[in-house]
Amino acid sequence: MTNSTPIRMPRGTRAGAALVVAVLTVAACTYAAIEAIALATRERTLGFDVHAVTRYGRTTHWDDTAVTVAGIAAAVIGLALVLAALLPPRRRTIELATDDHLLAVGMSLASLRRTLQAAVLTIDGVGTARVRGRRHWTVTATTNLRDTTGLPETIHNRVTTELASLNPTRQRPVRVRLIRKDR
Amino acid sequence: MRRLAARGNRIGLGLLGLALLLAGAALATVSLGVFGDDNAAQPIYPSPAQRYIHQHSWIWSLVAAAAIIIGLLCVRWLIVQPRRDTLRRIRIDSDRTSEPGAGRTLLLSAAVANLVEDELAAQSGARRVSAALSGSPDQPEIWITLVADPGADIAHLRDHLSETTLPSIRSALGQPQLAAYLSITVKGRVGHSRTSKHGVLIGQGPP
Repeated sequence: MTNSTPIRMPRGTRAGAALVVAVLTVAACTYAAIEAIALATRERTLGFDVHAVTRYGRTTHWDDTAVTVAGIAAAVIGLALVLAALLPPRRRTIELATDDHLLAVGMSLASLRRTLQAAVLTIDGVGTARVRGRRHWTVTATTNLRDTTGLPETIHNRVTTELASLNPTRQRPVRVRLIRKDR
Repeated sequence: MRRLAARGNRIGLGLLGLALLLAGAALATVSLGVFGDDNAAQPIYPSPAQRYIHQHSWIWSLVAAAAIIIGLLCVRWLIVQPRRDTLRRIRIDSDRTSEPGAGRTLLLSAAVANLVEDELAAQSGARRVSAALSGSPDQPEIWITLVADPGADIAHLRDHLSETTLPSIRSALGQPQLAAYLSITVKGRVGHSRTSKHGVLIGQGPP
């Protein structure tokens, strides 16, 4: 690593898709092996009907609707798996910029929301706070204060300052909603 | 940290997907009569095939063996999912000449990982830190997972790592190009965080 291109947090590993496909393939292979052993030995194996598959093959024709549907379904699932393998998985973390190009820092969306929420709750007069958002940060805060002059701006500044210090690589605008709760 | 699993998943999904796509496309084209209506009207297990397989029953043994092998490969695929690529030793220097004093100097990667963990865990707001090394003994990289309190100064923790911990580790190991990956999770209760919908909306910002 001799160039100065900043390193980045890795993308996902496609573990969910791999888990589902591997479990289903193990199940299909187990069934196929039992059937094949049953047909090879011409005996009933583990309760499986020896001739069930061959009987189905003899009585079913290529142009049966079930065969067409099975073929199309297999092709569609296959295409989805090929695309899952080829397309890069999405990044699961929000990356924070650093001056060190050999350090990558990532934070989950939930963790960043929680940090912003904690920052808002340090402001005098803010009772509760919730941070949401994917394309922009929406802070919903409640207050018991009668005079709330400047409070939305204070919350906005506090969140903006916190974001500036965290320095996420993708900037998003901040919106503040302030709700007055009666005592 | 899990590059091997990621590569295995990519290859596994790609191969199985391609096999399924080709088989499905072949099945659909025959079924839809692309190769002629006569072929489409045939049973999928016709009499000549039955006779051939009846005379060569070892074919079923071959099918069983193939199913068992593919099944075992998939079991292995499942087993490697949670596995992480960890490096046990780092090569500090290597002198393979026959001169006196020549040899290799290796360092247990756990020693480096423990150092990083202790250094970061001592910072305010750090709840739990775990570190591990991966990569090659010549070009290691460090993976750090930090669990912090909601009110922790995340920027300070990150800056402490980049400005103090990493430079000293890189200097000690003689690895100025040591790459580091820090994954931060914030856990814990954030005061009274729930907002109620009952109330009067009095302001919305920025103005």
